[in-house]
Amino acid sequence: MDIKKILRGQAKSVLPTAQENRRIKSQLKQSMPAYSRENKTKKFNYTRAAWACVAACVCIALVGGVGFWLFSSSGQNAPVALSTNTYVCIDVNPSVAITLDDVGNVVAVKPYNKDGAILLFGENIVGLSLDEACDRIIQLSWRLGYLQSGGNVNLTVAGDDKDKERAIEQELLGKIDGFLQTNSIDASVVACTDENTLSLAQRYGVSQGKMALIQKVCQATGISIKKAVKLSLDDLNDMLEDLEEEGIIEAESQLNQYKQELQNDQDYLSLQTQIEKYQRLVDEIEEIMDRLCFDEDEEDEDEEEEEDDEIFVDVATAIEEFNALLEHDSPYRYIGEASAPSFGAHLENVLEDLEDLIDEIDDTIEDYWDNIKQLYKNSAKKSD
Amino acid sequence: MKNEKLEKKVKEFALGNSKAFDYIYDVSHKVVFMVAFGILNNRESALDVMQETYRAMIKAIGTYNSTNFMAWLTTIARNLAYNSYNKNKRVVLSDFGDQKYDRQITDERDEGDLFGVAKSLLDEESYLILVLVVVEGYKRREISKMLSMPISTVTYKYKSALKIIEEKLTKEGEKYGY
Repeated sequence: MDIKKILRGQAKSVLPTAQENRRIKSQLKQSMPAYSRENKTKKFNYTRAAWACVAACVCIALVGGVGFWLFSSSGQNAPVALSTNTYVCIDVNPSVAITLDDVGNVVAVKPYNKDGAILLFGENIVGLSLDEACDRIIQLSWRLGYLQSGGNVNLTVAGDDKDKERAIEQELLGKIDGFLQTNSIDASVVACTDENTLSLAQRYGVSQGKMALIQKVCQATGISIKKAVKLSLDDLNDMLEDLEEEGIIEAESQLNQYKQELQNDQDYLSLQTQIEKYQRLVDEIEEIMDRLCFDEDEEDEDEEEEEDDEIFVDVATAIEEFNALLEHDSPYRYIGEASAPSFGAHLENVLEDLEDLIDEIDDTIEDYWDNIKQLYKNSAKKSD
Repeated sequence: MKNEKLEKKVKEFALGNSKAFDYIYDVSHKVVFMVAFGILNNRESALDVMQETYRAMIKAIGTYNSTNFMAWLTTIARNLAYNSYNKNKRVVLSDFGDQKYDRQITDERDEGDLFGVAKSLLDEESYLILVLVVVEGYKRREISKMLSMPISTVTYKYKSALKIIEEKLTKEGEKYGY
């Protein structure tokens, strides 16, 4: 007897229906503004305020006193700030957020909106350096037509370390500007922090970047700045990610459908097969290169290594193994003398050619991806 | 994890982001309803209590200061359901006197109603664990965090709950010859 199944079935038959849920939710929501109004119009209690002021003064005195005592008695430097993630938000219209760990590696990339989801679909940016990631995002924005002449790239860097935050921002501004110029893209890159953000940041004692994120969250959710400053960078980032969650999910699911359809395209499949084949070949050639001992003296000196199966006993065996990887009419077959330097040089040339070939196929595959993204982008625009 | 996201949304809601309410309602209403239904054994009354629970939650969200929102919410639901039950009892079931809720409810129940059987046989915690796993699909490790209880206890209570219901059903089957 499957009790769980029976229970689930019974629960389904009594649980509120979708219609009932909608009704209840809407009734509850109607009661919410009244609740917030009630809160806002609370009478000002002078006695309570006076006591709060006294308590605050006592706290400040205590904290200040204890802090001064600790600092002066230890004679140490100021405590080191805990390292936290840094967020880099790039906003072209596709809006995406890159999360960096404390050594500057990209640990996550998330879309903030539907266009961001289109842009990032199928991209593997995690693990890249920040420069590479930004370069890739700007390049994709350009290719997909989001970034156009006269357009703007807005950059927000938010971290708990103000100096680090400014340093990353300055570096990125220069790099993105350089990329735009190199590719003759008539667009500008600006840091998303104006005078107002700066003064608010100073007032609330947070970094400029964090204040820029706070402003975005407040604008979208109606939360007051006073409350939002209490949120961590992680929380702010999560909230921004969730704002257009539905649109992002819809875009990802539609693009996944296009991706499925692509699996039936013979040309696309053949490109995939080719790239896998060449990639495998590159791996195998690299392995042969690793096992090939170029210096004969070294080979004699290290007998243990020579006996090891992993190292080729002679170059002829390596050549034989290499040629066996290729088809009989392949132009890459090695027919020269059996010397390690000349065979090694041949292998290097072959690897170079193969990598060029892989890049070319990769570009063609990328075009397929661009096409499905463009297709979805246009259909979404029409339906909007 | 589902519970972590719920706690985040609750935090946002408490700060004034009313959009977070949809998520909170969507992931919690089934459990709230089943808790109320388990006590009242009446769908309409359970729906009313569910609505009242969220109304109370909205009013009190400023005072919520924990990481066990679901436990907090189901406590509100349970209290409101018992209040509602007492109110109705005075009107309709005044003869039952001081007997325990569970006993009274069992007497009125249709034996085919497994949640009713569960509610009458299990303690509050076991019933809640059963509802959280079966109705809302929470993982036992999530429930353990939610109810501040070791995973082993959650597993034990969950398994025992299933066993108790199964035994009861088997006995009933034998009694009626099926």
